[in-house]
Amino acid sequence: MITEFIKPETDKEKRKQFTYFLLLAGSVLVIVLMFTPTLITWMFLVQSNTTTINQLNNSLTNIFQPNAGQEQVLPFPVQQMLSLMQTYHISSYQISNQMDRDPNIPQRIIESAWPRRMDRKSPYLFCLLEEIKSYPNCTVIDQREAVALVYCH
Amino acid sequence: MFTVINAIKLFILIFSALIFLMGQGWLVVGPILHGNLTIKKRDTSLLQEIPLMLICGLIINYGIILCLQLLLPGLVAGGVISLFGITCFAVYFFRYHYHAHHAFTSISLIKCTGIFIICLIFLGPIVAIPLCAWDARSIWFFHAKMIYVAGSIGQSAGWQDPSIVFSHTDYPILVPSLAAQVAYVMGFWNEYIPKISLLFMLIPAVTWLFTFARRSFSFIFLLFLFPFCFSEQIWNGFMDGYLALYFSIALLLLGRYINSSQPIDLISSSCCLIFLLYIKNEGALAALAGFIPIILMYIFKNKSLSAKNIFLINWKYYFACLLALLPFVLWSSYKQHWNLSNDLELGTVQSISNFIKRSTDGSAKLIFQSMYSQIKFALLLLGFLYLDSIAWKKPFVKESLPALMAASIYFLGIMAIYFLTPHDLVWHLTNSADRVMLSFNGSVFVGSYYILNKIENTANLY
Repeated sequence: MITEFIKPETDKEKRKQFTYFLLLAGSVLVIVLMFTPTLITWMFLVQSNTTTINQLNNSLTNIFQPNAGQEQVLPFPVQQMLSLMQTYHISSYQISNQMDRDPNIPQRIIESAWPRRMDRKSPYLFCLLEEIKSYPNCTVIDQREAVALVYCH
Repeated sequence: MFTVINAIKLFILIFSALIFLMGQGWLVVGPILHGNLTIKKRDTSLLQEIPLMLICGLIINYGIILCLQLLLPGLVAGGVISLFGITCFAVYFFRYHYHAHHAFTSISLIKCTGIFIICLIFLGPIVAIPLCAWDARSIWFFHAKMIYVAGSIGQSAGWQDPSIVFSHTDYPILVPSLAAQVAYVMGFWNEYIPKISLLFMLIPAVTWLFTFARRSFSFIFLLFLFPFCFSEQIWNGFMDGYLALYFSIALLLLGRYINSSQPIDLISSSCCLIFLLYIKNEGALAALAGFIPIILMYIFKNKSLSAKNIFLINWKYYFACLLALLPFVLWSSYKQHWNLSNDLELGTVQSISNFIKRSTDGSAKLIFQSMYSQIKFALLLLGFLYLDSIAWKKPFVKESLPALMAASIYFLGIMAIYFLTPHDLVWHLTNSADRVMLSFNGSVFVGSYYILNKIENTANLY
């Protein structure tokens, strides 16, 4: 039987080999499509590219616009902190303990605010609105919907 | 109108960056392949030379930045070198490829169209989706931003700032410095433009894939898996996908070298393995896993030659390898000077004590289970094809051996790292096992490809 695979002598045998290979190819294809991320990747790429083409103008504008994309990727409190830093030209800052414990805030503010640095000695501190009372020695400079900027002597 | 202008700007940016990298790359690839910058001495196809030029260009560009430390002088020096290189390449191209009948046959045009389409498909998510993946923001593109802001990869970038200990500042900075260069040339930073650096990483890999193109099911299989099986890791700014992709390409080229003995395949494979060092720290393990089969193969192929003769015959390749390792040495020395240490603390007493503790407390089972859950389908495919190859009386496919050997070494290396890790084991496995095992899966897919290819050739279908 196996020898037949290797030395096809007639068209019939060749057809048989072809059928066996088709079966093998079909099974391989099923494994690849069902058990690897290939199909999901294809579907995502189709969806992503369709959206990009439909919004081509926006996509291309974003690419060449300074600071574009921050509002889509940064948590809301981080965006507000950035806005406050820009308004008051702050070069170093620190964040409150509650903010520090939030897994979505410390790393996001450090990388998005860079080169403004997080510094434990900075007099400028960001805290949540409900935390302002925890800093009685600090003066509130400004506040946004979720975040306050305070100056601690 | 603005859409058209922006599209043209994007095209010019990509095209000029490719020329910039190719020009630098040719200065190494030309002498290695042909012993000359303008005269062709070996019968190699342009499609094999171009990705090699791009990868060498990426390594040289990285080396220049590390040497000069500053972005602007680095770009100027790279530009001058590139201009010289691309002029020599242009002479070479017009002399040997432009008028040659085989240069623009319908097959090569189909291959080029394929490369263009695959890259275009990935260009969408690369440039249209902003940087949002965690590691991309906290590590890779944060380092790029630090370099861009300082205009330097030196200490002024802020590597030692105590607030950024989370950012693994000891990681290689090839992609971050490339992304910083792109932003520097454009003159601004945003969440989109630095990601174009990922496209420059993707193009050589896709081009190499199409050097395997032929009318066969095995090529369709290859194209279905690479780079699509690495999913969002190709466009989200993580480096694991690229590490796995180049590890796989290196083993793919090595498999072809075993079959055809074309030096360009071995050179390209070695180049990809060295390139792994500059993508991620795990690249050192992957490079080691890839070079062991190369060394073994070399020993078996040149049994009759003495070590001295082997060195004398191939001295220029070894010299090129040493040059390509220079950025690794430079970055390692900077890290030492700036006290940038790795969080894994490998080689310390603590890591050895972790290893002993985990060997006895049942962690081995947890590590093995986590790793196995990531690789079981790749092993299923390999097992299925291996059984088929036995049925077709081709149980020994020598081209697949380097890939399978490298996969095994890589697997054992990663397993050892989990035994040594100072982090909470469950946390470490949950956050990384799926990504680090991509390289293993990729190399198993390469092994599977060669088995499938052998069966297809045996079946004599076409």
